[in-house]
This record gives sequence, structure tokens and C-alpha cells, in this order.
Amino acid sequence: MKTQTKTILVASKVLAFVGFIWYSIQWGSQLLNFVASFISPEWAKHTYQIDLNIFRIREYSIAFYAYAMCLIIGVFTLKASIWYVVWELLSKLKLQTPFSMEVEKKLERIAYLMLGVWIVSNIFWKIYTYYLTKETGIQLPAKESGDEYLFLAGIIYIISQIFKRGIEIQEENDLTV
Amino acid sequence: MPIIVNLDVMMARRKMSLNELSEKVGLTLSNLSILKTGKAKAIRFSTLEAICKTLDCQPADILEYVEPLKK
Repeated sequence: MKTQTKTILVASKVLAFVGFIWYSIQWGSQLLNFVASFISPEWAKHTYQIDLNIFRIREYSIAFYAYAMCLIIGVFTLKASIWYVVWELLSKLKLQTPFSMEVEKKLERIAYLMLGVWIVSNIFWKIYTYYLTKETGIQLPAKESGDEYLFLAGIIYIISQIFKRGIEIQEENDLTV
Repeated sequence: MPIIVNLDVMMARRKMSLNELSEKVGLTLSNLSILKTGKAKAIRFSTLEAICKTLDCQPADILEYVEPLKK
């Protein structure tokens, strides 16, 4: 049983690192396309979310294009950060003493980052798309606004608070003579 | 914390070292040190009883309540 837990943790650590690398590549690619599209608008065609009509927005208005790209890059930054913190958490987790303040702080940070993803996604899908359609008539395909991130952020935050209380009880026990 | 541990005062009065007290009470040196330096969060009645018995004193000689300073 013990060995199985260890194996699962090692596998999760590898997965978290792969996730971090994947989102970092996407982040770098979006940033590169964004910067390059100022020199040549054709670069806007190479963005990952091609279905978002980013190229049309770029042709219509640089300001709207810049807002969209900033929000998209922001989401990728937050997602890459989540994977990095998960990897950090799994790297620092010791099975002998798993309950530490460091782990609790990382859990809390993951919850805040997830909340950040939800906020930025909502700004994009609710506020930005509304003004984009109003001002330019360009309609973006309807997509999920990342509500699952809000749910996950809440769950992880609750777990981190329970974890924190557990650590406090453990500390009290350790300091009882 | 408003509870002050005066273990070192009683030890000095009884001219007893930490090692000697540790042996007589049956507590580890590290646990006694936690108690002496005021880092302890709680004390068991059994520990308090053993310390009082060894130092021939009352719990009030070891523990003292001090009104915390208002910020």
C-alpha cells in the first residue's frame, strides 16, 4: 500500500512537470505570436485558439486584439503557474511528515491561482466578448467560461483550511509535555 | 502567552540541574527545555504532578498568570 502511494506521488509529480512544460510552451508560443503580430499581422493566424477569430480582431482593431491576447496570455500564465506549484508541492511533500505549513501554503496558492483563472476567463468570455460584439460586430464562438476552476478553487481552499487546522493540532500535540 | 512558566526559578531554588530533574521526573531533556523556555502549548497533569513532587512545590510556584500587555 505504502509503495503504491509513493508510486502514485512520483507519477503525479512527473505529470505535473509535463503539464507545466506544456502550458509554458503554449504561453511562450502565444507571447511570441503576439509580439510578432505587431510586425506582421499574419502571425495572428498562428495562435493556438484559431477558432477565436483572433486574426479578424487584429485586422479590425489593434487595441481589441491586444486586450484579447493579454487575457489569453494571462490565462496561460496562471495555468502554467498552477502546474508549477503542483510540481513544487509534490517535490517538497515528504511521506514521513506530510503535514507541514509549506504544503498548506502551496495548497492555498493553487486555490488562489485557480480563482485567478476563473476571474480572467470570465473577464474574457463575459465582459470582453460583450464589448467586442457591441463595438465591432465580431462574434466569438460560445465556449465555457471556466466555471469548473471556481468550483475546484473552492474545494482546494477548503482542503487547505482543514489541512491547516490539522497542522495546528499536530503542533499542539508536539508541544504538549 | 499570558501563562509564564517559572520552572527555572524553582530549579534554582532547589539547586537542581535540568539533567537531574529530567532523570527524576522521567521527561526527556528536549521536552523539559520546551517547558522551561515557555514554548509548550499544554502540560499534562501527570507531568505537573511529577515536577511538583520532585521540586516539592505547588503548581502555582511553577505556573503564573500575567496580564497581557494591551497594544
